Amino acid sequence: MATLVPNIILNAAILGVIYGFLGLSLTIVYGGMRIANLAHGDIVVAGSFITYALTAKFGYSPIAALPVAFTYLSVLGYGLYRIAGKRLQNSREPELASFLFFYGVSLMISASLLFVFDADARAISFQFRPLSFQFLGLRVPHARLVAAGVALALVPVIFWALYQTIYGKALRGAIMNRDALRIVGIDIDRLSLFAFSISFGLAGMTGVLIALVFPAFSPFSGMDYTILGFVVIVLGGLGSPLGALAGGMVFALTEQLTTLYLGQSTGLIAGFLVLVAVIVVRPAGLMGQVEWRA
Amino acid sequence: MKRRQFLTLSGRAGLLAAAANAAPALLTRRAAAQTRSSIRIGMSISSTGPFAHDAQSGSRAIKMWLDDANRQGGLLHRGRRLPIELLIRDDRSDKQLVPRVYESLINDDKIDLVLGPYGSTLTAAAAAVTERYDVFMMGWAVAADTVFQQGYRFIVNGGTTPISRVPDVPVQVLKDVGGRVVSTIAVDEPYSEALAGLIKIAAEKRGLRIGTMEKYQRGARDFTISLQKAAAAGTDLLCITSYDSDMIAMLRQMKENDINFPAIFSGFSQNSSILALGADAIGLWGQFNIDPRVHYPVTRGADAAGFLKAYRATYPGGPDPDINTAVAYAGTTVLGAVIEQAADLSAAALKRAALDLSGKLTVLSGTYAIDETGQQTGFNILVLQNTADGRDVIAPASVATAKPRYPMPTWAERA
Amino acid sequence: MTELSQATAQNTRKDAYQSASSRLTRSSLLIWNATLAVMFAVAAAIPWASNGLSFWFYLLQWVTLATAVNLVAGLVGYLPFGFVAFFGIGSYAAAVLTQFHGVLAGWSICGAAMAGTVLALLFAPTMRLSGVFFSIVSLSLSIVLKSLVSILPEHVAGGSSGVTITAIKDPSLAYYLMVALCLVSLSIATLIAVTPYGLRLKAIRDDAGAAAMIGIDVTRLRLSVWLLSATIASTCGGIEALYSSVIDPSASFNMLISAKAIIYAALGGLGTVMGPLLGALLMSVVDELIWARFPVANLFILGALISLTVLAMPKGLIGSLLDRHPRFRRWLF
Repeated sequence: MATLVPNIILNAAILGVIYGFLGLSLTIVYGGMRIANLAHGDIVVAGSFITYALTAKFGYSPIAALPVAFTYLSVLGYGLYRIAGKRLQNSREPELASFLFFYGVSLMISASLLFVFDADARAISFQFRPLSFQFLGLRVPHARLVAAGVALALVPVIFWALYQTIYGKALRGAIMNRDALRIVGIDIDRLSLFAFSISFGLAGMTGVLIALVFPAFSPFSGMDYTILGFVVIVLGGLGSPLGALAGGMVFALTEQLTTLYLGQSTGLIAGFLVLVAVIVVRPAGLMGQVEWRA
Repeated sequence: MKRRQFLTLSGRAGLLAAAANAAPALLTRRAAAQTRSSIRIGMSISSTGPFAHDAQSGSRAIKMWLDDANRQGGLLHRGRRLPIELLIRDDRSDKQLVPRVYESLINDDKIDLVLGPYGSTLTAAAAAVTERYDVFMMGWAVAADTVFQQGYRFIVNGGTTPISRVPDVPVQVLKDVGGRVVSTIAVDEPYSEALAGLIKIAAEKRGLRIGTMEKYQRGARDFTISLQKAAAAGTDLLCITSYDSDMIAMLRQMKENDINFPAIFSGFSQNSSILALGADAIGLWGQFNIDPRVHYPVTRGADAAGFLKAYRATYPGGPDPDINTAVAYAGTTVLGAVIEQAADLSAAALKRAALDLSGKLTVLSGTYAIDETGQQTGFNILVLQNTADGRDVIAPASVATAKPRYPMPTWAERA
Repeated sequence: MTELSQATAQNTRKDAYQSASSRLTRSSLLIWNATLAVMFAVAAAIPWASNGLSFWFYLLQWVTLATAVNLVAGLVGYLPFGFVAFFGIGSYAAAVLTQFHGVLAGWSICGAAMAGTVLALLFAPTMRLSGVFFSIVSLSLSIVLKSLVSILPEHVAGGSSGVTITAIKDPSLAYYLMVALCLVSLSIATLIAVTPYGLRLKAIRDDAGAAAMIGIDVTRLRLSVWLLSATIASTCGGIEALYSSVIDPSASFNMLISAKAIIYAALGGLGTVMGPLLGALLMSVVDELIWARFPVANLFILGALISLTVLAMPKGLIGSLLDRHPRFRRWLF
């Protein structure tokens, strides 16, 4: 089994990037606005279904689905924020209110996907040529390489947007101290609307990448991705974009190595136990600076 | 003032409570049939959830059976043709909802007997209720043997081969072609795990070796490692006993990582979602219960070829029939025979009739036979292998149309 | 010095009690108790009046679970996404005791209650966490627990096929147990609301630091509510196992159970006594209505209903009604 280890570490690294990317879009909304987007996974699955529709019905490459998923889903995010964002943020317990609101949204999205695509499992049949690359005795599937590549190419853009632009700085400011931002005269509502739409768009793009890596999905797989997203950002530290990536890596590596040595059913348990252990030792997560109070 | 305020308020609360209490009862309650002018059968189908797809595959065949029977004026009961009323409710694949649905069918809709829901888990939940009320249940997709080991009196499996009798067939094929190592990959759900365990027993009985037995949690997405481990163990036959969506992911991951097995067996190999993979689905062994080339001396209902033709005519352009469609058609055809055989529609009489018919009735998937517990002992499964232009029946030997292609083509050979 | 502080503490306690009881006049409490009594008399009579027990059984189950989760969510301010862990462990304790060890139903329910208490003690350290950290860790633990239960050998806990209880044929015992448990949990909630206990809990929820400053033993109080809530949930799970007689890991540890309990409680009004009751009653009826009427669109409608209610009444039915009409404060709590 030892011969499998290098390959597994490479595989875990690729999955870690995808998991991290899944958490990244979630942490922008949760960290900045304390909106617990329980529909995050359903947005991701919607992105996968958009990929399916484009590749299966129109014969496009999955890469072409990236801008489409981003556009459609950020419009959905824009709409949802317009309807609910302000009310949720102004309520006494934004976490609870948004948890309930987005649970409803999650039901609506999966019901709509079910209506349009039926309960069948859907699979992306598009294949890259060649199917995989081999180097130094390692084998990497082309699709996974593309997915990880796209994510890695987008991460610097997101980081640049978060750390260099005025919007990004304001948003990160909001993660640390909302009220202070208001005092210095930043239009928090516009900022939130913007961040919220971007987050939904990014979640949709995550769905495209996930469709490349895990090509089968059904309208009900949303909740799995929501949980994974939250686990990753809590593990990494809320509101820390770098932490989300680190959290994704740690989770993927734990899961994969446990699967190798103990079997697949313990892989998931180990992932969650590592989360619990990290949180107990470092309540703010791997890279979190702020410990959130209820 | 305060008092009045309180009075109106408590009055309203009382009304609200009363309304809340009465609503569900009023909603579904209907006048009971006074004299018998029809046979009322209740059942539930999952509109959503993990069983939705399979349940709906089955329900298409059940509707075909219903229309067929009613076109002839219904079923012959005590010398008179009575039309069938089928009341279908939704159970959302929810085990907690199932008892409520069947209770409501029994108490509010006054059904005479029921058809089971899809799957062993839901059927077991429904049986807890139907046994309590002494109602006969024809199970059509209840493959788990455990359901029939609970001492239930009025449940009969008229549709599907029990899982205990599934593994022998594919494992024997492997032995016949000279394979030696069997591995399983299962999800942690009753049907899947039980089947994996039985495959192990069947393999050991034949002196074959077990490579790996992997179990994963529902929602797992990456099977690369489990597959690599199975391949490293020298597996000749990989048995995938979980969902078709997971199997799609596994096939893709095998292909991308160039992991090859000489044979792969799964109950889903002939599902439309797997067949949609095209060349990637060629060579897979699957479990099916009917084939147009396999002829049984059918004594009731359509034979396999006739059923498939009728299905195409009823649902032109609709989804392909799968194993659950055929299983449901078998179950309802048997039910029709049982009703016509029974002296009356009481649970005891129906069970009596079901036992009397055992071994004397042949439907599209073979000869129906049950034991005292109601478990199916008759129907045999077919093992099919997907080919470039269709499928071959490779087992049992008596009805096989072709020799298995073993080993199946590697990924490199397909490209 | 100590005497003085004791006296002060006693005074605060007295003040607190007075302020709590002055809000609720004696008559309003009387009415509430009378309403409860009537409701439970009706519930106890159901087996004679109606053939369909299941609707009522699950109605009571949701009232109980919503009330239990409200103790933690509404009074202490934790949102336990993994609340189902307690329900599930109770189910398994009762089923395994009854089926594999031949324990009488009554005692196996006691076993279920104890299993919940023990599990809650094990999970108690997670209360150091706050906000979404707590919620996600709680969820993770419930998933881990579910996996562990399904990994256990079949003769210990039935494996992933679960356990079928064949020893109990008549479900009415389980029904009456559920009626009793529901009454007990509502009474506990009421007691907490009218005694200083509840006021102190609310103080902790609003500002734990300040609460500790005025001499409230934050940790102990939180822990006791946590244990109470978990024990109710596990007892409830045990009774459900006896009622349905078929349990398996994916159904007993289904995340939807946590989600539904929280949603019902929150839609009715977290932190109130009547809220979870009202929320569970209304949503069960609404669920029944749309489920029967709209077989295709039922999920969508349910989702829309939840989202819209949250927007229109962010504090739930009772909470938002009280915000708008504070004069009802005397009658609704």
